[in-house]
Amino acid sequence: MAALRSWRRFYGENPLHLLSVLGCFALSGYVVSLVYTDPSAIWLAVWFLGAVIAHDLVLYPLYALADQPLTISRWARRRYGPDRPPLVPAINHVRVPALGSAVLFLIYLPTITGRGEDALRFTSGLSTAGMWDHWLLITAVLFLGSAVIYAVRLGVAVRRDLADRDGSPAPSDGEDGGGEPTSTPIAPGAASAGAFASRSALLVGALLLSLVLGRT
Amino acid sequence: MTTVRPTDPPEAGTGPEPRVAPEPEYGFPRALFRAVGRIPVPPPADPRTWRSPLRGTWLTSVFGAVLLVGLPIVIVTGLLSYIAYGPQFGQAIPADVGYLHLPYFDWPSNPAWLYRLTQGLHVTLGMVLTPIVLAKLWSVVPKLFVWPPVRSVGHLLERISLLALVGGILFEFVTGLMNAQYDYSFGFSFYLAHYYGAWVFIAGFVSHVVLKVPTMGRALRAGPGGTGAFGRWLNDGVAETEPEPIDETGLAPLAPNRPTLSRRGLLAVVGGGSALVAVLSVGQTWDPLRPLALLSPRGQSYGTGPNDFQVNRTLAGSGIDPSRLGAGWRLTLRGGATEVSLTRDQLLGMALHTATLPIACVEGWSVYRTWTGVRLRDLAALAGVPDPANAFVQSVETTGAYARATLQNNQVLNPDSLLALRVGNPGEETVDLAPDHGFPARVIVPALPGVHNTKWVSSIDFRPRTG
Repeated sequence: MAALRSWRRFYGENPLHLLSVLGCFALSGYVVSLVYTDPSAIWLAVWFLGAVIAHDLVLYPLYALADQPLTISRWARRRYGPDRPPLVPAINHVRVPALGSAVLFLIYLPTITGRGEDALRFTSGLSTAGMWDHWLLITAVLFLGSAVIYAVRLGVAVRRDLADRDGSPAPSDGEDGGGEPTSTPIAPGAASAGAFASRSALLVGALLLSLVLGRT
Repeated sequence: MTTVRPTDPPEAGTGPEPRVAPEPEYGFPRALFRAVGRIPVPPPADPRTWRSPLRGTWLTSVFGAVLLVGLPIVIVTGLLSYIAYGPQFGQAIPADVGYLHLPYFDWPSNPAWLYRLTQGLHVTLGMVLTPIVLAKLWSVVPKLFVWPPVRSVGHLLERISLLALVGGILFEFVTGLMNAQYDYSFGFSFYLAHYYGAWVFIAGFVSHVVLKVPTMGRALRAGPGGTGAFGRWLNDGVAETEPEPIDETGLAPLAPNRPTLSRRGLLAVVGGGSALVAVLSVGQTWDPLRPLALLSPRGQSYGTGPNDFQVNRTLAGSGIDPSRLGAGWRLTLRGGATEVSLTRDQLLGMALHTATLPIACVEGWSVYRTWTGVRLRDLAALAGVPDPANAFVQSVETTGAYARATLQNNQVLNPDSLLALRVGNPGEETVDLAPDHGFPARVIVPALPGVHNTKWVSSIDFRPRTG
């Protein structure tokens, strides 16, 4: 099919592609033809394009940041070289509650920030007071839950590591980020470090919780 | 999220096979596009900006498949809501939409929970899909900054059509979420914007599905390395997670980071986000979970009394002089040879019927109540029009957009359609309606959008069939 091949060489895609794209333009154009006489048409366009631009300006840097967890995590564990890797990576225990909290903030932004307060009161007699606290409370619960799970995982890992060390003197299991393969020498106080981590996780969570409860 | 020992796979990209992007298929003029493509560019246009080892055609296809099921439900329930508002009476907004509507039909008044279901699905499913929409946008963000920005006429047209898709979905979600939370700062009519925005989105969505479904199907069927194992990527823990192979979609990373999360971990995080939103929002339409609707304006409770349920228009907000709802209030019935005027006591003296019906709002919340009142069909018979074409209900209120509503024949004749005088908790004794709920009398019709259940009714015009 020479015709098809030369079409592809010109257009870059197959002919059905053009059909589908033209269908999209036709329907969008019909919508615009219905709406462009409306007095608010210009604001519709501003919000339509604004939504795209705001997404690209606000969420794009966050996407880019989400792609670079190592930059952050390397900084966070700068005291841990390749010879002293962490027993349980903490990054997802921060990432997951942070994402949960952020997505709730995004979805419930008008309520959390009280932007709908006047209209809501006029319509229903209700108020959005306390919604900010609810969001903080949920955020605290997410982080606290994550911290508790992290503490438990760390405790289990420390225990297992000590058991391994009792059994075989030098477990050699791994390498870190392009570093040389090394054994994992456990610092003398590893067990107490695990206990310390669990305790501080609980403390941070309790602190957050009391902050929120104090406000309500 | 497995308990990995501190082992790390070797940094991908430094392994034996370097990851190189294939030459894209350039259209005419090829030399120009290729020359532009060879210009070295800084981030974010440099493909090495995007380092997540999880991005790739398979991952995007998984999100796409979920949205391919979920979004049509949101679209159709939304278009059904337009029908439920009664466009044949000019009371759906926007009034004239050309060809942009489902085929018109009389909205059923049976089952009673129909609008509660369709609109609850529309709003709640929309909210639950938000994390998945965001994950999908995250997964394809390298294509936004792809270099060269255009590689053929076809590519240019497709990128323009993506404006309808991405702009459409962002516009619909933003306006929908704002409206359901009483934030009207956009300054245009929500109904008009959300309805026309939906059709722009439909245009982009259908076109995108037609173009991409083959790619999606191939990616889901192929699995890792073309092994044909649909879910095999899901078996990998963090340590075993390898980047997807480079292909012509340009989604898989050229310079992937060491994974910190497995594919199943990422899907669990996104799904967990949806579950979190679901738990926090279902309560606005499902009473047992209402205490968990901590962030919904309608998750709040008025109390436990018979009249303690959601108000969508307070008496104060209606602007009605309360004295007009006192002893001097009369219900006027028109349509027959003579007007009929009834006091509230006369209404209470008629045959009363009790029904437990939901009242469901376009904003997605709903509540069940037990209502006692006079059947609308009894009032129609009393007015002398036992089988009306439709009925026009007018409130004492005059200013608001919903101070009046026209009911279809099937909505008047349904045995549970009432001019309610009393209300109570489901299955309990009923008491007089509170002023905020429409005292002296209000309409309640099964499966009717909440705002068309007119409160503080002053007259009903039963229009005879013509011909």
